Amino acid sequence: MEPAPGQPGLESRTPLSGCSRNSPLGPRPGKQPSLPPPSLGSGEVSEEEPGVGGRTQLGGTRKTPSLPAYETPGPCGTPPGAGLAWGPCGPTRPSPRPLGRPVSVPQATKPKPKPGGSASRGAPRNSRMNPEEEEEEEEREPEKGARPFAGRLQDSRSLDGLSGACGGGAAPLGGPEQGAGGGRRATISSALELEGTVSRHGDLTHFVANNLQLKIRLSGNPQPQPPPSARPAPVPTPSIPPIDPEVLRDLERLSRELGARVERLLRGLGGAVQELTALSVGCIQTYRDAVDSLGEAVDMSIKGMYTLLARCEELERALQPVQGLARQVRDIRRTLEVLEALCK
Amino acid sequence: MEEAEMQLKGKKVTDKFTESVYVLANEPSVALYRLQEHVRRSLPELAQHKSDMQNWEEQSQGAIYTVEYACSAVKNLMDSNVHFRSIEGLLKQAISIKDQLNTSQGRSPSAPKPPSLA
Repeated sequence: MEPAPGQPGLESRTPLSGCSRNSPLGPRPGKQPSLPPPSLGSGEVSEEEPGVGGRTQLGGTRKTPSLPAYETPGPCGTPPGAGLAWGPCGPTRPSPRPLGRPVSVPQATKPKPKPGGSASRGAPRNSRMNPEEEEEEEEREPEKGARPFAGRLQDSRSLDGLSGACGGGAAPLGGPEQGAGGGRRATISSALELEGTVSRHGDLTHFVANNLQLKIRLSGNPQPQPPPSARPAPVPTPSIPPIDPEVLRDLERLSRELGARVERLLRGLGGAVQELTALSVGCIQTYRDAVDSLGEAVDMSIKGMYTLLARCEELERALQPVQGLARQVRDIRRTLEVLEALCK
Repeated sequence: MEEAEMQLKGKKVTDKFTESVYVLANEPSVALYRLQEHVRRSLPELAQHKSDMQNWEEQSQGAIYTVEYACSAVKNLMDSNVHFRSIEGLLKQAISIKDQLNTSQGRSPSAPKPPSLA
């Protein structure tokens, strides 16, 4: 995110033309690292923040009476340089290149029409993104050429202060912009205005947070920190207690112990389930034996039934000649009666 | 506050784990219980059926033997056919001889016959 090599040159070319955004430089390709404030006199547009997705708007020469806490002094940002660069605009703080944090410019609202990307950003902005979000910044590229870079000078002042600070040194372009911005601001909700600078350009709404670093800290930290004041280098939040090196070891030990307990538990469970299964296996085997014997009994019964049937059939067949025998016996009896009659 | 939060998180984790362990251990247990429950309920009926079958088997075996004996008896009975034939033959011979005797006695002395007849 360092300023492009060309930037310094540009900056030098465009002295503190107030907050004029329009920079003689042509549009910048791709992401532009935020130019160091000092070198910005003309300031290129602040670098884009790919991660943030917002583009830093390096408004012309923005005076940043107090740099946001998150701002880190960049190679280009040098207080003295900044002061020099901002001279006309007033005291300028070194605007180190923030981590891609865009520099919010009160008059960041570009007069120039923004490209589609910025328009898309304008839409969400219209929804009043929370101040804790990255400061919305207009795209730099399109306006880069038009505006001098003032991005670094992230000030936590309200628009009034900014305009007041930059008013004197504001470029001619900045003047009308300010007026227009002021007029537009009137339409913006007061809540946002308290947190930053809001300006509207047609469909686009620009919002520049006053103290982004403070907001970030506040969001993550229950103890709000005093707003950074002229703190060029980002200071680690003092509310975070010093990390205990034993934590890792304790974690490791505890997790190992936990794993051992869980393993024991599972083994015990497995053993119990195995016992249950063995018992059930015995029970089911008994059932199987019972069913087998029942099947055998039924088979035997059926076999006996069939045997009985066969025997009965055989008996029936054997009983048929008995009729003949009976006839014979009747004949013999008659003959005997005849003989008896003859003998008498 | 952080302590409570940590406790809450730990409790949530342990609750989830306990639930999963509960389900893990409960499914086979319930399944095995149902199995043995079914076995327990159906075994006495099976035993009853088996005993019934065995009784019937015994009875049928008795009947079979009876029929077997009857069949053998009838077969042996058929052996008397020869004897009956011979008996009938002999009876007819006896009748014929008696007829002849009667005829011969009637022709020869008719007077002595009547006292014998009386």
